[in-house]
Amino acid sequence: MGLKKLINKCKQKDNKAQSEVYQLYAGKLFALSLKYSRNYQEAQDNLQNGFITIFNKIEQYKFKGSFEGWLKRIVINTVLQTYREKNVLNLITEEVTDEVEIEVDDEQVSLEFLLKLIQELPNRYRLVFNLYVLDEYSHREIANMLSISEGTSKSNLSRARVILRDKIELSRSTIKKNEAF
Amino acid sequence: MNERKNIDRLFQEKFKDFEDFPPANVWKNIENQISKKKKRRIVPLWLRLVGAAAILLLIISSGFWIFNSTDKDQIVPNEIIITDSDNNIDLLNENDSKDKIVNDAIPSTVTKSQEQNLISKSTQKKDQISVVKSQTRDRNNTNQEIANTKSQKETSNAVVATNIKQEEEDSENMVNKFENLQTPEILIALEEVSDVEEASKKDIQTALDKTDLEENTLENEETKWSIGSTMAPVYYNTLSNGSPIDGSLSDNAKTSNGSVSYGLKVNYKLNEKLSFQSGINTLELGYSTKNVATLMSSSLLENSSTNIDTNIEGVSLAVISTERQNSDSSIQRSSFDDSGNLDQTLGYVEIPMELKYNVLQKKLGVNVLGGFSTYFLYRNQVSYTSFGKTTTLGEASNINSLNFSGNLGLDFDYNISKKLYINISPMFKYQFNTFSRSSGGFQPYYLGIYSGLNFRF
Repeated sequence: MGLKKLINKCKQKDNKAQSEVYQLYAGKLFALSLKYSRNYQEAQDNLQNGFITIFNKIEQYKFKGSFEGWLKRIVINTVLQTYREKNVLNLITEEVTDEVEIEVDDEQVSLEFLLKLIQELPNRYRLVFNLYVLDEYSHREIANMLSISEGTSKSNLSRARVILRDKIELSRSTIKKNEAF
Repeated sequence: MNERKNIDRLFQEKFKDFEDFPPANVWKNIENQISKKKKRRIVPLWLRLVGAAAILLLIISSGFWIFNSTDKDQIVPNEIIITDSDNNIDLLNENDSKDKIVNDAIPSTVTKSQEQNLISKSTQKKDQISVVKSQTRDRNNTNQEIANTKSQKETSNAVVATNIKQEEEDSENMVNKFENLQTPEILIALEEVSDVEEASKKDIQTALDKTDLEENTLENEETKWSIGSTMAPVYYNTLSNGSPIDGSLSDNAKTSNGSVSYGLKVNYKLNEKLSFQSGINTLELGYSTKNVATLMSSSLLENSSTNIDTNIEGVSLAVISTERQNSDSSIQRSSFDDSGNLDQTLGYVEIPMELKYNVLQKKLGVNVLGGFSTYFLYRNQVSYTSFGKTTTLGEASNINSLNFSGNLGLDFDYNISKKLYINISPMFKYQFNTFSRSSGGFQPYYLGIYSGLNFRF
């Protein structure tokens, strides 16, 4: 079945088609949700709410742009909305640090470990880092989405990078110490 | 040793093909949520059937109306009756000696008719009781609904509570973060406070926009019900000549006694365009026939075509138009009362079932209304007024205690707030089985301008 046909069936609230769309995209969207959430449970909740919105609003998808992009945007918006409701995004702010290249040793760092690091970031750092680095939004777009200034977005990003680097470095040194003993 | 690498690229490469399938319960939850909405739709489906029935009835009733208005044959038998009654009256007048009996009979009828009034009042009360009962039943239903929505609210409160908890945790985290920051950073952070304020202002604005949006969607999804009061001045009239009281009064002038209908209205939104509306109204219809003379007699007017039931044994009643009385010298000599008005009053409890179709939805909403009403008769009275004196004659014997009307009209809504709106709705209601027999071609309809204050929930 073509994707277009499948989407049209979803618009008619066809159960089978909805299940099929879920099977097709749940993996990618859950990965996305995991990056934006603080833990596994929250990621499940966000994915669930995202899919409910997707199936309720699917008639608004007019086949402009990729379907996957549309789905991703809804999941991201679902996550952002939970933070807007909690109103915690504007609690931290600090100076704009210069965009310095932050480098780390590319050793064997597992995906799970990196995901954990992202999830452990403060909310806004995590969102900005995800949006900018992993989902390629511009600072201007991020500023709009999070209702912050572009400068704040930039400084949040560099703070996020510093935290991530420090944690990677820290873990590496502890691993090395462990190896030494 | 590996080469040093940009941290962005490290993450980008690692997460490039990252996929993780969620646990099975996620889909189950989603499926439940989506199908819940479908289950909710079962009730509107049932209501839609009712709506369809209402439209069908409307079509049938309008068909009836067209059929009736072309079928003038009905009036012909009435005319025959008129001539019959004329003969009766002539016979009566030849018997002058009976006049006395007639005069004697009048006081007794008056007292008896008072008794009868009492009877009709008690039946009226019964009707009212049944109405009250049905209202309490309605209330129970709404109570249940309120309880349901309450429990929903409680759960959403619980959700909010957990959110708040998380928020507290978050802010604790933030405080910790702040403590970790070095002092120069804090100073610069202070400098940036103005920037923050601006940003937070923007935040608030977007948050406001958001809540607006959310409220709108909430309104679409949640505020399906509205309840309101209705009040309407009502004008009762007939589409053709004729008199349900006596065929001989067909050509007399008739005027509507303006009366007021009031009641409660419940509205359920089926979808964006269509809503179903029901409720309960009391309705008192009255009209008076001008230039009528009355005559009461014992056992003399058995064959009179009058549809007034005096409920008094051995006494019957005749009415005649004064025009005839004046023109006919034999009648002139008789003991008919002087010219006066014959008033008929019918009191109903009305249960309307209407579909409302939205034509325009701005601040002012324009809707088309159609449907039917069921009427339960609780008051039925015929009285006679001459020289400012009103005498209750009895009740009309040809009124159905249950009848229907086809309704058609417009409805204008004006939103005062999100929850409150006023509406005004001119309605045309055509009754199609008011009379069980010999209505003399009387085709009653009434016009009402319904207005009310409504509350959405």
